[in-house]
Amino acid sequence: MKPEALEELRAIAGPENLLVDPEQTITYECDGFAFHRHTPEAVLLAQTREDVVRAVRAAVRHRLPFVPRGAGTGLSGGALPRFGGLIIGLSRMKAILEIDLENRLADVEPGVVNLDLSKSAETSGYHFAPDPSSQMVSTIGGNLAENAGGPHCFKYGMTTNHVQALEVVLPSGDVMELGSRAADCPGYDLVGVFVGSEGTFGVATRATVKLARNPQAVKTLLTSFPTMKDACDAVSSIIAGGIIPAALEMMDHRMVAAVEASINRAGMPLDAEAVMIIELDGLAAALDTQADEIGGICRAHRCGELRVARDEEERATIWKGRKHAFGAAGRMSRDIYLQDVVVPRNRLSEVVVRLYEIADRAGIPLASLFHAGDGNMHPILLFDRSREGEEQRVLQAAHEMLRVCVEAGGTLSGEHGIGSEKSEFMGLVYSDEDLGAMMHLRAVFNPDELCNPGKIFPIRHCLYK
Amino acid sequence: MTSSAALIDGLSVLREEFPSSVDELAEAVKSAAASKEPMSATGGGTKLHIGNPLRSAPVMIHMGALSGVVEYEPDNMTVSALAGTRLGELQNVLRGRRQFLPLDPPAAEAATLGGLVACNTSGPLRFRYGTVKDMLLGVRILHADGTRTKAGGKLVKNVTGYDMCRLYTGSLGTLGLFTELTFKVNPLPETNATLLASYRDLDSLLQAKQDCLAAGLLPDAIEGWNSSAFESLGPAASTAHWFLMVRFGDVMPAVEWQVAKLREIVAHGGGEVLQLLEGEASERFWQGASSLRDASEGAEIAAVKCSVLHRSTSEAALRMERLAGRLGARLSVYCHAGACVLYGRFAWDEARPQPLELRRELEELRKYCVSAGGHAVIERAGPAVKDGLDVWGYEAPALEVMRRIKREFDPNGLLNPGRFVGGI
Repeated sequence: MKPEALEELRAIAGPENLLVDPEQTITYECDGFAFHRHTPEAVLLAQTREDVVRAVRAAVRHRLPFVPRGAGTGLSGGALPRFGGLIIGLSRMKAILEIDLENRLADVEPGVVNLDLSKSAETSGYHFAPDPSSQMVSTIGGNLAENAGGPHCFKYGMTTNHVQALEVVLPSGDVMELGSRAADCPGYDLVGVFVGSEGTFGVATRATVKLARNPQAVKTLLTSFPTMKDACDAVSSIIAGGIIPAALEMMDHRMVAAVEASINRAGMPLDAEAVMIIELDGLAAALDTQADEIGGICRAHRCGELRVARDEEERATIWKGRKHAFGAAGRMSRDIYLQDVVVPRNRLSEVVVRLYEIADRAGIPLASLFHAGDGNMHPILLFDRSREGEEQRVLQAAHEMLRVCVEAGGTLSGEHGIGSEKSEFMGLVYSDEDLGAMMHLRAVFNPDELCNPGKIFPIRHCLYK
Repeated sequence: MTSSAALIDGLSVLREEFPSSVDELAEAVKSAAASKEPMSATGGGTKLHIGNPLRSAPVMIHMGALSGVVEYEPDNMTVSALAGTRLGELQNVLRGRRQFLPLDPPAAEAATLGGLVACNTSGPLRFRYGTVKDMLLGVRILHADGTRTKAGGKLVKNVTGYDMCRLYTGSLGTLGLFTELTFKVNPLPETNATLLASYRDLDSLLQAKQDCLAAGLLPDAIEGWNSSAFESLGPAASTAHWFLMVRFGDVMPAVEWQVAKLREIVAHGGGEVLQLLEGEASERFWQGASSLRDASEGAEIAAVKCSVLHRSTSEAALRMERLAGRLGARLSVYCHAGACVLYGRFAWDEARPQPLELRRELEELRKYCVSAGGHAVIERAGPAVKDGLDVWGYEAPALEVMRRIKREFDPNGLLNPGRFVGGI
């Protein structure tokens, strides 16, 4: 980076907020996807919207690629500075600006931690519905860049269903309001387009998000199935049966064993191949009937004991086990590859069998963690990269899983994004014409591709490389 | 089909096309594009009044023959259908498996899926189920140069690339013509019920809405209509000015609990319960009610859609009433109280006001809505009124981004030229 550029960046938020020392910048060499690494030349920790504007303008002036970053928990390399340059860190812009209960909206800065927003609305009886497993640390800015999901998006939708308006700094450095607090903003849905653009359309500096009413009652069921196939068939039957649980989560035996061996053990059955968490929420008057119906369906698919959480404490224990499962997987082997794929719900059981076959053929142990109600599967490959050829076999198996899912009418990512991880596989799902339409949109927002370059599209479709 | 159905704002068409397959549609679009002829598409013809007047006479493409369900997977809760499929026809198919697309726009029987997505049309059910963009999972679309692309799929969760479905929803046919659409569907609630209550003023009615939500009720719809709107439904006349209509759909015990709770809220809030409609009676009621805000009637009319925030909702209605008073119009207000969206319908049996005067009044109303952080879209007004204004009234800086999007997707400006925001 040229000294003039550094000088300019240093002046924006003060030298204390510009990291250039390699010992510090190395922390930013990757996000939660550790397979791709690239150290940025500088990291600017923005304190205000004005800092972001000036940082983006400086980057444009000096032709520096720049990448917005929240907590860095993303799982597809979205916050990876693929070509070096500048990272604009947003985790210090963490003010909850307004909680507007009258309209059930909240205004937040991008660095607000997902769970912190729900906590601050809790006493009023509201929460922010998207609940990625990273919600204790991940930021709302990152959630909306990736269009994050979570266990409860089965009933409540993804992040995009909960964003009303945005203030963004476009890759040109211009500040712009997208959407409006009031419903039905005329014109193209720019908020809907910005959410999920993986940090390639600019930097959100303020979000107006919707708050959801806490459910009057919640019932959490824990059960098990002799095989993964039985469990997947039960999922299809529940969906066809016309009940929409708040969450429908599944883990395989290996995953459950890891959770039960951790400090977050939740008393999950260890004698079955598949464990399922089914959560119902809504009106107290409706839950008993629904729980009975679901119990009937599960029994028809050979479920084991069906346990209903007696109280909030037991429920929290079950969810703690589930939400920390990814961490528990990390303790099963030196390295892990977390895959994020999705198929139509009625294809789950046939696809799941094939995923295990792929892992078996590759000689790599597999643990599974599924948002089964959405058809969203997270097979986790457990390996050790220090062993000769193992990483290569893992990547090949992960790739083969993508193919199998796409063939079954599925796609490359349900909630983690494409980032740098899967950009070369976009051709499995989209034709050049399909990608061309998306590139029209990129050309509007990010014509020079300085903003998070080399993401989403195969590199041959990228200007900046 | 006659060519009179193809008139938009009194403008005749260059020619009409009736493609019966996607290939024929692509041919029609390519040939129009080759000679730089502007194009407009229509399905059921239920929303041709929406938007600014076209800049010039278009080739009118009738999509109605591209009709039918392509793939319905009840155990995935998704359905794909050709864009010219009528919503009523789709609902019939879904009902067979006790599912439905939770969309209840006006003219639900006649409106086509393509038109509903292009216009982002919704109805009272939006309170619980959201609007089109919350249901649309995938599209196949034909662009102005004849290129066919797809986006999304049959998956309820999908972040593979940009969310093009959101871009196309509500784009009024200015970026391409849909050929096939895939939606997420929902189970039909076991039963439903509707409680009707009357209020002296809109403020108390809106407070009842807030009380409902605070009490944890989960209604399907919360509507507040003025007496003129409500009378057209036919129930017994009342001296009250505002009518609350709340619909619940769930299992029976949950519906009963909510109805009882709402009765308490109404009683404490100065309202009066008029009637409880249950089961089929409730469904029939909404089938009729959803279309009223857009029903064509003999009288000359103008219609405006205002969206504001909770606190400005009753002021927006009051301003509509004053406008109607000054211009001698009969005013019906259909308010999605939950979403704070108000549809105002002004009707004149005779002595319609001068276009200039009506335009000035509508612009005043819009000024108020914009100052309150909202919008006012003029949905119906004769061409003479529309000519001097942008019916969308959207002038924020983001309009420039929208113009760039249009130029990228349709550089020659052939698709529905002029009808969308800022003359896009």
